[in-house]
Amino acid sequence: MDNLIYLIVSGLAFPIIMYFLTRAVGFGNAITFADTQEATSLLQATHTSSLITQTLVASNNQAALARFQDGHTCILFPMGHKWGSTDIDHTSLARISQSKHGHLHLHMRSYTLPRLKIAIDNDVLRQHWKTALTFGETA
Amino acid sequence: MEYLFSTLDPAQFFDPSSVAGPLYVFFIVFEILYIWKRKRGGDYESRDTAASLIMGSTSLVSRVLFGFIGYFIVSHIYAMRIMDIPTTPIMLVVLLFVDDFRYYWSHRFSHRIRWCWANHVIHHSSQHFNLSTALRQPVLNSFTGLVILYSPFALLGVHPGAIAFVGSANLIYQFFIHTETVGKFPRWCEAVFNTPSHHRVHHSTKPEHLDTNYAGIFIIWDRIFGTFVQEKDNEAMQYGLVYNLGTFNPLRIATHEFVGIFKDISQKGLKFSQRFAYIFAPPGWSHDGSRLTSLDIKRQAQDEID
Repeated sequence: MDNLIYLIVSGLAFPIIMYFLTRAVGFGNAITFADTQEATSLLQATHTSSLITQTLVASNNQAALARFQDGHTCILFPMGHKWGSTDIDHTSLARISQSKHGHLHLHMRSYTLPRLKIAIDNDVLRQHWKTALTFGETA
Repeated sequence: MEYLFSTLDPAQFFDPSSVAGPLYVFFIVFEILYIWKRKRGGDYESRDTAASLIMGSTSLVSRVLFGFIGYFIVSHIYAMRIMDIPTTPIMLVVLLFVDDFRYYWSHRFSHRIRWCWANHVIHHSSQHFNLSTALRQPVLNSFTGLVILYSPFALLGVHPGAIAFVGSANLIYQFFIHTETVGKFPRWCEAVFNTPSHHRVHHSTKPEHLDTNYAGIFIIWDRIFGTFVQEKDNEAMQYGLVYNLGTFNPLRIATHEFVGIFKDISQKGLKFSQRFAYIFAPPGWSHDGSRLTSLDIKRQAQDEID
Protein backbone atom coordinates (compact mmCIF):
# COMPACT_ATOMS: atom_id res chain seq x y z
CA MET A 1 0.00 0.00 0.00
CA ASP A 2 2.87 2.36 0.88
CA ASN A 3 4.44 1.57 -2.47
CA LEU A 4 1.22 2.40 -4.25
CA ILE A 5 0.87 5.73 -2.43
CA TYR A 6 4.53 6.52 -3.20
CA LEU A 7 3.93 5.67 -6.86
CA ILE A 8 0.85 7.86 -7.10
CA VAL A 9 2.44 10.85 -5.31
CA SER A 10 5.72 10.68 -7.26
CA GLY A 11 3.76 9.86 -10.40
CA LEU A 12 1.96 13.17 -10.12
CA ALA A 13 4.82 15.27 -8.76
CA PHE A 14 7.32 14.27 -11.44
CA PRO A 15 5.09 15.19 -14.42
CA ILE A 16 4.21 18.52 -12.81
CA ILE A 17 7.89 19.36 -12.20
CA MET A 18 8.80 18.35 -15.76
CA TYR A 19 5.88 20.36 -17.14
CA PHE A 20 7.18 23.52 -15.47
CA LEU A 21 10.80 22.75 -16.35
CA THR A 22 9.97 22.35 -20.06
CA ARG A 23 7.89 25.54 -19.94
CA ALA A 24 10.72 27.40 -18.23
CA VAL A 25 13.13 26.54 -21.04
CA GLY A 26 10.63 27.56 -23.71
CA PHE A 27 9.08 24.25 -24.75
CA GLY A 28 5.60 25.36 -23.75
CA ASN A 29 4.86 27.73 -26.61
CA ALA A 30 2.18 26.79 -29.11
CA ILE A 31 2.92 26.88 -32.81
CA THR A 32 1.64 29.82 -34.89
CA PHE A 33 1.49 30.59 -38.58
CA ALA A 34 2.84 33.85 -39.93
CA ASP A 35 -0.16 34.95 -41.99
CA THR A 36 -3.21 33.81 -43.93
CA GLN A 37 -0.98 32.73 -46.80
CA GLU A 38 0.89 30.24 -44.61
CA ALA A 39 -2.34 29.00 -43.04
CA THR A 40 -3.76 28.42 -46.51
CA SER A 41 -0.66 26.47 -47.53
CA LEU A 42 -0.87 24.30 -44.42
CA LEU A 43 -4.55 23.62 -45.00
CA GLN A 44 -4.06 22.97 -48.71
CA ALA A 45 -1.57 20.25 -47.78
CA THR A 46 -4.36 18.37 -45.98
CA HIS A 47 -6.43 18.10 -49.19
CA THR A 48 -4.22 18.24 -52.21
CA SER A 49 -6.95 17.11 -54.59
CA SER A 50 -9.15 20.19 -54.20
CA LEU A 51 -8.51 23.93 -54.12
CA ILE A 52 -9.37 26.17 -51.17
CA THR A 53 -12.16 28.66 -51.79
CA GLN A 54 -12.13 30.43 -48.41
CA THR A 55 -9.72 30.68 -45.48
CA LEU A 56 -10.52 32.08 -42.05
CA VAL A 57 -7.81 32.60 -39.46
CA ALA A 58 -7.97 33.14 -35.71
CA SER A 59 -6.72 36.40 -34.22
CA ASN A 60 -3.74 34.73 -32.56
CA ASN A 61 -2.71 32.87 -35.76
CA GLN A 62 -3.13 29.54 -33.99
CA ALA A 63 -6.18 28.21 -35.79
CA ALA A 64 -7.60 28.44 -39.30
CA LEU A 65 -10.49 27.08 -41.27
CA ALA A 66 -10.63 26.33 -44.96
CA ARG A 67 -13.46 25.52 -47.32
CA PHE A 68 -12.54 23.48 -50.35
CA GLN A 69 -14.09 23.38 -53.80
CA ASP A 70 -15.16 19.77 -53.29
CA GLY A 71 -17.24 20.72 -50.23
CA HIS A 72 -14.76 19.70 -47.56
CA THR A 73 -14.24 21.95 -44.55
CA CYS A 74 -11.05 21.56 -42.56
CA ILE A 75 -9.80 23.16 -39.35
CA LEU A 76 -6.14 23.64 -38.53
CA PHE A 77 -5.26 23.80 -34.85
CA PRO A 78 -2.11 23.67 -32.69
CA MET A 79 -1.08 20.53 -30.82
CA GLY A 80 1.78 22.09 -28.92
CA HIS A 81 4.58 22.52 -31.44
CA LYS A 82 2.82 20.55 -34.17
CA TRP A 83 -0.14 21.30 -36.36
CA GLY A 84 -3.23 19.18 -36.17
CA SER A 85 -6.07 19.23 -38.64
CA THR A 86 -9.52 17.76 -38.81
CA ASP A 87 -12.32 17.68 -41.34
CA ILE A 88 -15.64 18.87 -40.01
CA ASP A 89 -19.17 18.37 -41.25
CA HIS A 90 -22.70 18.94 -39.93
CA THR A 91 -22.26 16.23 -37.31
CA SER A 92 -18.83 17.19 -35.95
CA LEU A 93 -19.82 19.91 -33.51
CA ALA A 94 -21.94 19.33 -30.44
CA ARG A 95 -22.15 23.04 -29.72
CA ILE A 96 -20.28 26.33 -29.93
CA SER A 97 -19.88 28.48 -26.85
CA GLN A 98 -18.34 31.90 -26.43
CA SER A 99 -15.97 33.01 -23.68
CA LYS A 100 -16.21 36.41 -22.00
CA HIS A 101 -13.31 37.50 -24.22
CA GLY A 102 -15.35 36.61 -27.27
CA HIS A 103 -13.32 33.54 -28.18
CA LEU A 104 -15.19 30.61 -29.65
CA HIS A 105 -15.04 27.25 -27.92
CA LEU A 106 -15.89 24.38 -30.21
CA HIS A 107 -17.23 21.36 -28.37
CA MET A 108 -16.59 18.48 -30.73
CA ARG A 109 -18.26 15.08 -30.80
CA SER A 110 -14.92 13.40 -31.47
CA TYR A 111 -13.45 11.52 -28.52
CA THR A 112 -9.92 12.27 -29.70
CA LEU A 113 -10.53 15.96 -30.34
CA PRO A 114 -12.97 17.06 -27.64
CA ARG A 115 -12.47 20.83 -27.66
CA LEU A 116 -10.98 23.60 -29.76
CA LYS A 117 -10.47 27.23 -28.80
CA ILE A 118 -10.57 29.84 -31.54
CA ALA A 119 -9.26 33.25 -30.48
CA ILE A 120 -11.32 35.98 -32.17
CA ASP A 121 -11.18 39.69 -31.47
CA ASN A 122 -13.96 41.19 -33.57
CA ASP A 123 -17.62 40.60 -34.30
CA VAL A 124 -17.34 40.39 -38.07
CA LEU A 125 -14.71 37.64 -37.94
CA ARG A 126 -16.70 35.83 -35.23
CA GLN A 127 -19.76 35.82 -37.45
CA HIS A 128 -17.74 34.48 -40.39
CA TRP A 129 -16.41 31.66 -38.23
CA LYS A 130 -19.86 30.81 -36.88
CA THR A 131 -21.31 30.75 -40.37
CA ALA A 132 -18.58 28.50 -41.64
CA LEU A 133 -18.73 26.18 -38.65
CA THR A 134 -22.48 25.77 -38.87
CA PHE A 135 -22.46 25.58 -42.67
CA GLY A 136 -24.56 28.69 -42.97
CA GLU A 137 -27.34 27.60 -40.64
CA THR A 138 -26.89 30.49 -38.19
CA ALA A 139 -25.58 33.00 -40.68
CA MET B 1 34.03 -18.05 -14.55
CA GLU B 2 32.56 -20.26 -11.85
CA TYR B 3 30.17 -17.45 -10.96
CA LEU B 4 28.60 -17.55 -14.43
CA PHE B 5 27.32 -21.05 -13.72
CA SER B 6 26.44 -20.59 -10.05
CA THR B 7 22.79 -21.10 -9.22
CA LEU B 8 20.79 -18.03 -8.18
CA ASP B 9 17.44 -17.84 -6.43
CA PRO B 10 15.12 -15.96 -8.82
CA ALA B 11 12.53 -15.58 -6.07
CA GLN B 12 14.97 -13.12 -4.48
CA PHE B 13 15.37 -11.03 -7.66
CA PHE B 14 14.40 -7.40 -7.51
CA ASP B 15 12.49 -5.79 -10.37
CA PRO B 16 15.10 -3.64 -12.17
CA SER B 17 12.42 -1.24 -13.38
CA SER B 18 11.42 -0.53 -9.78
CA VAL B 19 14.78 1.18 -9.17
CA ALA B 20 15.06 2.75 -12.63
CA GLY B 21 12.95 5.79 -11.73
CA PRO B 22 15.84 8.06 -10.64
CA LEU B 23 17.80 6.99 -13.72
CA TYR B 24 14.89 7.98 -15.96
CA VAL B 25 14.52 11.34 -14.20
CA PHE B 26 18.21 12.09 -14.55
CA PHE B 27 18.38 11.31 -18.26
CA ILE B 28 15.13 13.10 -19.12
CA VAL B 29 16.30 16.28 -17.37
CA PHE B 30 19.68 15.90 -19.06
CA GLU B 31 18.05 15.51 -22.50
CA ILE B 32 15.75 18.52 -21.94
CA LEU B 33 18.71 20.71 -20.98
CA TYR B 34 20.83 19.35 -23.84
CA ILE B 35 18.16 20.15 -26.45
CA TRP B 36 17.52 23.54 -24.88
CA LYS B 37 21.21 24.50 -24.90
CA ARG B 38 22.17 23.00 -28.25
CA LYS B 39 18.92 23.79 -30.09
CA ARG B 40 19.07 20.37 -31.76
CA GLY B 41 18.58 16.72 -31.00
CA GLY B 42 14.81 16.65 -30.91
CA ASP B 43 12.03 18.50 -29.19
CA TYR B 44 10.03 18.54 -25.98
CA GLU B 45 6.54 19.96 -25.54
CA SER B 46 5.30 20.71 -22.03
CA ARG B 47 1.85 19.15 -22.18
CA ASP B 48 3.05 16.22 -24.26
CA THR B 49 5.81 15.54 -21.73
CA ALA B 50 3.43 15.79 -18.78
CA ALA B 51 0.98 13.42 -20.50
CA SER B 52 3.74 10.91 -21.23
CA LEU B 53 4.99 10.95 -17.66
CA ILE B 54 1.51 10.67 -16.17
CA MET B 55 0.93 7.67 -18.41
CA GLY B 56 4.24 6.19 -17.27
CA SER B 57 3.16 6.51 -13.65
CA THR B 58 -0.29 5.13 -14.41
CA SER B 59 1.30 2.18 -16.15
CA LEU B 60 3.37 1.45 -13.04
CA VAL B 61 0.30 1.71 -10.81
CA SER B 62 -1.49 -0.64 -13.19
CA ARG B 63 1.39 -3.09 -12.89
CA VAL B 64 1.13 -3.00 -9.11
CA LEU B 65 -2.65 -3.50 -9.24
CA PHE B 66 -2.96 -6.02 -12.09
CA GLY B 67 0.53 -7.45 -12.60
CA PHE B 68 -0.47 -10.44 -10.51
CA ILE B 69 -2.70 -11.65 -13.37
CA GLY B 70 0.25 -12.34 -15.65
CA TYR B 71 2.35 -13.67 -12.78
CA PHE B 72 -0.51 -15.97 -11.77
CA ILE B 73 -0.82 -17.39 -15.29
CA VAL B 74 2.92 -17.87 -15.78
CA SER B 75 3.31 -19.40 -12.31
CA HIS B 76 0.56 -21.91 -13.04
CA ILE B 77 2.20 -22.92 -16.31
CA TYR B 78 5.54 -23.14 -14.46
CA ALA B 79 3.93 -25.57 -12.03
CA MET B 80 3.31 -27.89 -15.01
CA ARG B 81 6.90 -27.55 -16.33
CA ILE B 82 8.44 -30.48 -18.16
CA MET B 83 11.96 -29.83 -16.91
CA ASP B 84 13.97 -27.54 -14.65
CA ILE B 85 16.35 -24.94 -15.94
CA PRO B 86 18.51 -23.62 -13.11
CA THR B 87 18.84 -19.85 -12.96
CA THR B 88 22.47 -18.88 -13.41
CA PRO B 89 24.08 -15.65 -14.64
CA ILE B 90 24.89 -17.24 -18.01
CA MET B 91 21.33 -18.59 -18.27
CA LEU B 92 20.02 -15.05 -17.67
CA VAL B 93 22.13 -13.76 -20.57
CA VAL B 94 20.76 -16.49 -22.85
CA LEU B 95 17.25 -15.82 -21.55
CA LEU B 96 17.64 -12.10 -22.26
CA PHE B 97 18.38 -13.00 -25.88
CA VAL B 98 15.59 -15.58 -26.23
CA ASP B 99 13.11 -13.35 -24.43
CA ASP B 100 13.88 -10.64 -26.97
CA PHE B 101 12.57 -13.03 -29.61
CA ARG B 102 9.40 -13.28 -27.52
CA TYR B 103 9.33 -9.50 -27.28
CA TYR B 104 9.64 -9.16 -31.07
CA TRP B 105 6.50 -11.23 -31.62
CA SER B 106 4.62 -9.66 -28.74
CA HIS B 107 5.39 -6.23 -30.20
CA ARG B 108 4.45 -7.36 -33.72
CA PHE B 109 1.12 -8.71 -32.49
CA SER B 110 0.60 -5.41 -30.65
CA HIS B 111 0.69 -3.66 -34.00
CA ARG B 112 -1.27 -6.21 -36.02
CA ILE B 113 -4.13 -7.15 -33.68
CA ARG B 114 -6.44 -4.25 -32.89
CA TRP B 115 -7.21 -5.40 -29.34
CA CYS B 116 -3.50 -5.34 -28.56
CA TRP B 117 -2.99 -2.15 -30.58
CA ALA B 118 -5.67 -0.42 -28.50
CA ASN B 119 -3.30 -0.87 -25.58
CA HIS B 120 -0.01 -0.24 -27.40
CA VAL B 121 -1.21 2.79 -29.40
CA ILE B 122 -0.69 4.86 -26.24
CA HIS B 123 3.06 4.50 -26.65
CA HIS B 124 2.87 5.76 -30.25
CA SER B 125 0.45 8.61 -29.61
CA SER B 126 3.07 11.31 -29.00
CA GLN B 127 4.14 13.38 -31.98
CA HIS B 128 7.48 13.82 -30.27
CA PHE B 129 10.29 11.32 -29.93
CA ASN B 130 12.32 11.78 -26.77
CA LEU B 131 13.09 9.95 -23.54
CA SER B 132 9.74 10.95 -22.03
CA THR B 133 8.01 9.18 -24.94
CA ALA B 134 9.62 5.96 -23.70
CA LEU B 135 7.65 6.29 -20.48
CA ARG B 136 4.33 6.83 -22.28
CA GLN B 137 3.37 3.24 -21.57
CA PRO B 138 0.15 1.27 -21.88
CA VAL B 139 -2.11 0.94 -18.90
CA LEU B 140 -3.91 -2.31 -19.66
CA ASN B 141 -0.98 -4.59 -20.50
CA SER B 142 -2.35 -7.29 -18.23
CA PHE B 143 -5.50 -7.63 -20.34
CA THR B 144 -4.10 -8.04 -23.85
CA GLY B 145 -3.52 -11.78 -23.47
CA LEU B 146 0.04 -11.47 -24.79
CA VAL B 147 1.32 -12.83 -21.49
CA ILE B 148 0.65 -16.22 -23.05
CA LEU B 149 3.85 -15.77 -25.10
CA TYR B 150 5.78 -16.36 -21.87
CA SER B 151 4.29 -19.83 -21.50
CA PRO B 152 6.99 -21.74 -23.50
CA PHE B 153 9.61 -20.42 -21.09
CA ALA B 154 7.61 -21.41 -18.04
CA LEU B 155 6.80 -24.80 -19.53
CA LEU B 156 10.49 -25.42 -20.14
CA GLY B 157 11.20 -24.69 -16.49
CA VAL B 158 12.38 -21.09 -16.51
CA HIS B 159 11.44 -19.56 -13.16
CA PRO B 160 8.83 -16.72 -13.43
CA GLY B 161 11.16 -14.50 -11.39
CA ALA B 162 13.86 -14.90 -14.04
CA ILE B 163 11.34 -14.19 -16.81
CA ALA B 164 10.19 -11.00 -15.07
CA PHE B 165 13.78 -9.95 -14.44
CA VAL B 166 14.90 -10.11 -18.11
CA GLY B 167 11.60 -8.61 -19.29
CA SER B 168 12.26 -5.62 -17.08
CA ALA B 169 15.88 -5.34 -18.26
CA ASN B 170 14.59 -5.31 -21.85
CA LEU B 171 12.29 -2.38 -21.08
CA ILE B 172 15.08 -0.42 -19.39
CA TYR B 173 17.25 -0.88 -22.48
CA GLN B 174 14.44 0.44 -24.64
CA PHE B 175 14.16 3.64 -22.60
CA PHE B 176 17.50 4.79 -24.02
CA ILE B 177 16.62 4.28 -27.69
CA HIS B 178 13.83 6.88 -27.59
CA THR B 179 15.97 9.84 -28.51
CA GLU B 180 16.96 12.08 -31.39
CA THR B 181 20.03 13.38 -29.59
CA VAL B 182 22.25 10.66 -31.05
CA GLY B 183 22.71 9.76 -34.69
CA LYS B 184 23.96 6.34 -35.69
CA PHE B 185 26.32 4.00 -33.87
CA PRO B 186 29.15 2.04 -35.54
CA ARG B 187 27.97 -0.29 -38.28
CA TRP B 188 28.47 -3.51 -36.26
CA CYS B 189 26.34 -2.06 -33.48
CA GLU B 190 23.56 -0.96 -35.86
CA ALA B 191 23.65 -4.44 -37.42
CA VAL B 192 23.04 -6.30 -34.17
CA PHE B 193 21.33 -3.99 -31.72
CA ASN B 194 18.16 -1.98 -31.76
CA THR B 195 19.41 1.60 -31.71
CA PRO B 196 17.82 5.07 -31.57
CA SER B 197 18.15 5.20 -35.36
CA HIS B 198 16.18 1.97 -35.83
CA HIS B 199 13.59 2.97 -33.29
CA ARG B 200 13.02 6.38 -34.86
CA VAL B 201 11.93 4.47 -37.94
CA HIS B 202 9.57 2.39 -35.82
CA HIS B 203 7.88 5.53 -34.45
CA SER B 204 7.78 7.30 -37.82
CA THR B 205 4.45 7.76 -39.60
CA LYS B 206 5.84 7.53 -43.14
CA PRO B 207 4.04 4.75 -45.03
CA GLU B 208 7.27 2.85 -45.66
CA HIS B 209 8.06 2.93 -41.94
CA LEU B 210 4.74 1.62 -40.65
CA ASP B 211 4.96 -1.74 -38.87
CA THR B 212 8.74 -2.03 -39.05
CA ASN B 213 11.62 -2.44 -36.58
CA TYR B 214 9.71 -4.22 -33.82
CA ALA B 215 12.85 -5.32 -31.98
CA GLY B 216 13.46 -4.79 -28.30
CA ILE B 217 17.23 -5.18 -27.87
CA PHE B 218 18.39 -7.12 -30.94
CA ILE B 219 17.44 -5.79 -34.38
CA ILE B 220 18.37 -9.16 -35.89
CA TRP B 221 14.78 -10.39 -35.47
CA ASP B 222 13.55 -7.73 -37.88
CA ARG B 223 16.31 -8.59 -40.30
CA ILE B 224 15.36 -12.27 -40.13
CA PHE B 225 11.60 -11.79 -40.43
CA GLY B 226 11.67 -9.07 -43.10
CA THR B 227 10.41 -6.14 -41.05
CA PHE B 228 13.64 -4.18 -40.95
CA VAL B 229 13.89 -0.70 -42.49
CA GLN B 230 17.04 1.41 -42.30
CA GLU B 231 16.87 5.10 -41.41
CA LYS B 232 18.29 7.22 -44.23
CA ASP B 233 20.99 9.75 -43.40
CA ASN B 234 19.55 13.10 -42.29
CA GLU B 235 16.04 11.81 -42.87
CA ALA B 236 13.36 14.14 -41.46
CA MET B 237 10.86 12.15 -39.43
CA GLN B 238 7.29 12.75 -38.40
CA TYR B 239 6.28 10.81 -35.33
CA GLY B 240 2.96 9.76 -33.88
CA LEU B 241 -0.04 8.12 -35.47
CA VAL B 242 -1.34 8.14 -39.03
CA TYR B 243 -4.34 10.04 -37.61
CA ASN B 244 -2.97 12.00 -34.67
CA LEU B 245 -4.91 12.77 -31.53
CA GLY B 246 -6.16 16.28 -30.81
CA THR B 247 -5.80 16.05 -27.06
CA PHE B 248 -3.16 15.74 -24.34
CA ASN B 249 -5.70 14.32 -21.87
CA PRO B 250 -4.09 11.12 -20.50
CA LEU B 251 -7.46 9.44 -19.97
CA ARG B 252 -8.50 9.98 -23.57
CA ILE B 253 -5.05 8.93 -24.82
CA ALA B 254 -5.25 5.74 -22.77
CA THR B 255 -8.75 4.77 -23.82
CA HIS B 256 -9.39 6.20 -27.28
CA GLU B 257 -8.82 3.05 -29.28
CA PHE B 258 -10.89 0.96 -26.86
CA VAL B 259 -13.66 3.53 -27.26
CA GLY B 260 -13.23 3.19 -31.03
CA ILE B 261 -13.56 -0.58 -30.80
CA PHE B 262 -16.66 -0.25 -28.67
CA LYS B 263 -18.26 2.16 -31.15
CA ASP B 264 -17.41 -0.11 -34.05
CA ILE B 265 -18.79 -3.30 -32.56
CA SER B 266 -21.92 -1.44 -31.44
CA GLN B 267 -22.89 -0.59 -35.01
CA LYS B 268 -26.22 -2.02 -36.04
CA GLY B 269 -26.54 -4.74 -38.65
CA LEU B 270 -23.10 -6.29 -38.35
CA LYS B 271 -22.48 -10.03 -38.51
CA PHE B 272 -20.74 -11.72 -35.59
CA SER B 273 -17.64 -12.25 -37.73
CA GLN B 274 -17.51 -8.53 -38.51
CA ARG B 275 -17.78 -7.56 -34.85
CA PHE B 276 -15.05 -10.10 -34.11
CA ALA B 277 -12.85 -8.60 -36.84
CA TYR B 278 -13.32 -5.10 -35.42
CA ILE B 279 -11.64 -6.40 -32.26
CA PHE B 280 -8.99 -8.76 -33.60
CA ALA B 281 -8.27 -7.81 -37.22
CA PRO B 282 -5.41 -5.40 -37.98
CA PRO B 283 -6.02 -1.75 -37.01
CA GLY B 284 -7.80 0.08 -39.82
CA TRP B 285 -9.90 -2.92 -40.88
CA SER B 286 -13.54 -2.06 -41.56
CA HIS B 287 -16.48 -4.13 -42.72
CA ASP B 288 -17.20 -1.78 -45.64
CA GLY B 289 -13.60 -1.12 -46.60
CA SER B 290 -13.93 2.57 -45.79
CA ARG B 291 -10.74 2.68 -43.73
CA LEU B 292 -7.12 1.87 -44.41
CA THR B 293 -4.90 -0.67 -42.69
CA SER B 294 -1.16 -0.06 -42.60
CA LEU B 295 -0.76 -2.47 -45.53
CA ASP B 296 -3.32 -0.45 -47.55
CA ILE B 297 -1.43 2.77 -46.74
CA LYS B 298 1.87 1.22 -47.81
CA ARG B 299 0.30 -0.12 -51.02
CA GLN B 300 -1.25 3.27 -51.83
CA ALA B 301 2.05 5.06 -51.25
CA GLN B 302 3.84 2.52 -53.44
CA ASP B 303 1.25 2.97 -56.21
CA GLU B 304 1.80 6.73 -56.10
CA ILE B 305 5.55 6.21 -56.51
CA ASP B 306 5.02 3.73 -59.39
